[in-house]
Amino acid sequence: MELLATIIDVFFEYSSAIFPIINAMLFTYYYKKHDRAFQYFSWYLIYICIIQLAGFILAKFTIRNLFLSHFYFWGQLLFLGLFYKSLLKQQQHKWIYTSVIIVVIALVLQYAFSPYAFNRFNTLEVFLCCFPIVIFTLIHLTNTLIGPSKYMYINAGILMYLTSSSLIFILGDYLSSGTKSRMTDTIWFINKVLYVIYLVLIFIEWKHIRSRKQKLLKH
Amino acid sequence: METHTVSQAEIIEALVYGIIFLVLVTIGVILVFHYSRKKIIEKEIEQVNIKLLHQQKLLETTINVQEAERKRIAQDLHDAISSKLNVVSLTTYGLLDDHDLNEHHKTGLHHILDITTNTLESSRKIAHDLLPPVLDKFGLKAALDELFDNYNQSHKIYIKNHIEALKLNDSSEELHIFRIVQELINNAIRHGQAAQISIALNTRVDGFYLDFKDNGKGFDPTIIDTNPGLGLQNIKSRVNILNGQLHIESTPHTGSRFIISRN
Repeated sequence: MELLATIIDVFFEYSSAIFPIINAMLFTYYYKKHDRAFQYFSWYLIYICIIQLAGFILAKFTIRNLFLSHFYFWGQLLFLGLFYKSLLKQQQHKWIYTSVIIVVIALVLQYAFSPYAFNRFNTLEVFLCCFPIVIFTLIHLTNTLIGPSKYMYINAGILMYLTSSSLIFILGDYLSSGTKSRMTDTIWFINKVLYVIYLVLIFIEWKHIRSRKQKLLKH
Repeated sequence: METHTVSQAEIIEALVYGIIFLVLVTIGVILVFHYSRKKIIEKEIEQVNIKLLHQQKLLETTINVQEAERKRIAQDLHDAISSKLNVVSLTTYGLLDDHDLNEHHKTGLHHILDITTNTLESSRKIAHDLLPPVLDKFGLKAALDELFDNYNQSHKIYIKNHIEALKLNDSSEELHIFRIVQELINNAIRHGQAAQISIALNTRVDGFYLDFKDNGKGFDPTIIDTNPGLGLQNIKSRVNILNGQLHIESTPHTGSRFIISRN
């Protein structure tokens, strides 16, 4: 039983490391043939890969890599913000601009008054960077009710993963600082599973977009 | 310290349930949106179908009215104009028999006779185009034979045909099949620049089977599906009136095949 749990854990560990690279390669390869949203999402995937690689290298040299989480959240807001900007309607763009400006101001103020927040999981940052994206996913879902359903798999993945992982990351400092228990491992394992599901949904979206494009080309 | 460890474990356990709850809620939200969207699309498709059906009915009515009007005009041309022109022609011949007429009058009467004959011929041709009298008098097979003979005599196109006499309940159905064949030939010559056409019309228990092939330029049927020209739209409407099915096979440069059937 113990062995099976280890195998499953290793499987998700490797999947969460390899899948982003595969997705980034697939999206980048067809970068020019698709729309703006596809291109912004490709940037996001490349960015995630770079952060992941940097984290891996720093861990290899036993350097604390927690500060990378800040870059992860900022980049995520920036690239997914751009992604949703190209998906949402013109009149909804103001919501994206406003929320990004508010987040930037709030974070600048926070880091100005408490720079030590950089050395731990910044719960305010996690909340501020993830919440607007969850709202964008919901706006996109509402738009698809009467409009074209573009990037539905990615949108569902972002909504599911960000909602639940935000909660984990908000309590990330608490989870890493306390005594390591089975339950803490379970939470990080759940996060890994959700991340892999999110990556699989991105892959399905890529397949879906490609097959639709090929069908159109055939016609 | 013991108390602290227990409370941390409890918090983390609550967090696990919290995460599971959040995942389920988001999946629920996505599913609600997905099914709502499906329902909205179903309703929209239903409305579009109703609109299309209405347009189709309108087109069918227009075709029926057009045919009735053509028949009336053809009849009027025959009864009101041709018969009176025949009287003019006969009278002119009668006058020409008069030996007392001078050359000047004779030339005038010949001129009247020429104009009358030409007008009679034109009126006969117009009436024929509006509604072939052979179709009315001798049925579809004879009308189609006449149509193919006319085209074959032009030597610009060769129509190979095998036509069986159909047993249809309504004579208007014969007219629709005639018009469909006429339109298909026109399209093959005008758009397809075909040199050869093969047409087979066979009877079925409660209908017919029309197989039309040409060696023209061909086309992409998917484009025609989304944006049919007036001619093809007309064919489709007539096939609908006949309660038949239309099947199109064509690729660019390999000719076209139209199968219209009602079993």
